[in-house]
Amino acid sequence: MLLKEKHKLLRLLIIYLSISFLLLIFRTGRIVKVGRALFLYLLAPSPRIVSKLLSETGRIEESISQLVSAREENKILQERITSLLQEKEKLQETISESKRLKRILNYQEETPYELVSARVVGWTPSLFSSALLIDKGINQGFEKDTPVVAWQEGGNSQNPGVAPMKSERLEVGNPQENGMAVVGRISESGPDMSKVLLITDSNSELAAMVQRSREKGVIAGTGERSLLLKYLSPTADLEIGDLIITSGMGRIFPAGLVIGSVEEVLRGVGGLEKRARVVPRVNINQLEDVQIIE
Amino acid sequence: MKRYIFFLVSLLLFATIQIVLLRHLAIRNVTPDLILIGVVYFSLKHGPTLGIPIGFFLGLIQDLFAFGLFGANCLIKTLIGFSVGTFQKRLVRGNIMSQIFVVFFTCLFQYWSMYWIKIFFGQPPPQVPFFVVIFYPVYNSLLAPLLFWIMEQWEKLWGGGVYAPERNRSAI
Repeated sequence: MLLKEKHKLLRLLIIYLSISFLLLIFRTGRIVKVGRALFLYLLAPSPRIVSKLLSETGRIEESISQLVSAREENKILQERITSLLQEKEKLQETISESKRLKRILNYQEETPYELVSARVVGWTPSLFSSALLIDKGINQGFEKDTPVVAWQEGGNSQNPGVAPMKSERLEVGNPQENGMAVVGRISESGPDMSKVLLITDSNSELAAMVQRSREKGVIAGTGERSLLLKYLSPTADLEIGDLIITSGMGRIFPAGLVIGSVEEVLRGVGGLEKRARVVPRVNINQLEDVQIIE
Repeated sequence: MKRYIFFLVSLLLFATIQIVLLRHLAIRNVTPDLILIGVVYFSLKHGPTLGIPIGFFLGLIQDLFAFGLFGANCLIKTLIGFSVGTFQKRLVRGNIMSQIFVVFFTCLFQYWSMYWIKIFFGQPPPQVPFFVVIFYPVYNSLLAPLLFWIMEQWEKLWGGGVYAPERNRSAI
């Protein structure tokens, strides 16, 4: 009887291990891909429902707390409006100057892109990958390699617009100012759900440059909170606090999107290249909504 | 029938909690691995006959939502379900220390087996920071007793030991 049970168990183990091996071997095959899409389609609603319920609950709590702190917030906002108005005037002047210069140089502007919002419904359940799950997919017209960005509210609320000191350690999601920043790109799309490979994932690499000096390099995920800017020339002009933006090479991300700020300048192996540790502008752990670039 | 519904609901529930909620408990990018702890729990409580399919299907769900080698988590979790289930009699199942011990070693096993599977299939090995490699088993093993208790209460809601084979009725 015990031997029979052992045989049964062994048979069961061999069956399941064989299926696992077959999945691994034929993982890129058509049948496995169709099966994956089907399973993902069937399983996707449960994280979406839970995420929606949670966000609704969160919104109720948020409105209550907002009501309580409305007076204080109003005061801060009024101060901010004054500083923003001053900034607006300066910007208008810069814009008109830029337009004039562009006319002189006959510069052709890049096509502007449209943004579509998507809700973050989950995170990949694996130690070995950093990815988000969003509630938009093929049905909404989003396919592989579509860039995903997010709006980051800077945490420097006491001194808005004031850059941190060079010696200060930068925190994720708090480099210098508010704005749009790169989150990652869609790496797999289901009918109503997509997986977004985050820039912090160790499999992620994208073309980037230093905004101030226009030095070009590649920004790679490290699997940790920071990113690594590599392949810069050894003489590259790079300073702590420099803003890193997308260079537009690679054709996935449009040029000029903010990635993060330089936290530490490093020497590459043998001194043949300069590297930098970059803190992403977006705090991925706090993301609730993202924007997909159409 | 009720037994199958229970396991199906549990699988979906564990996966949903893992995907939607547990990121909020992450410490320096290390998230509690409810899927792994779930496989260990069911294998310890119900033996390898249930540990193997549960490991396989939880691994499959993990593979569906994650990146990387599709099928790798199925393989690893099936092996975990089998080995933990097989050794269940030798482990002092009511002991918190044994729960911590088993989860700690299955976490390490999961990391190293993923490392070698990736190399075997010609993929670059996972680049996980050293801190994560160390902290991941520590964090999960410390959470294991609490999660085991919650899972036991969840199982009791469905009728508890009634669904477990006769020899495994004792609580974990």
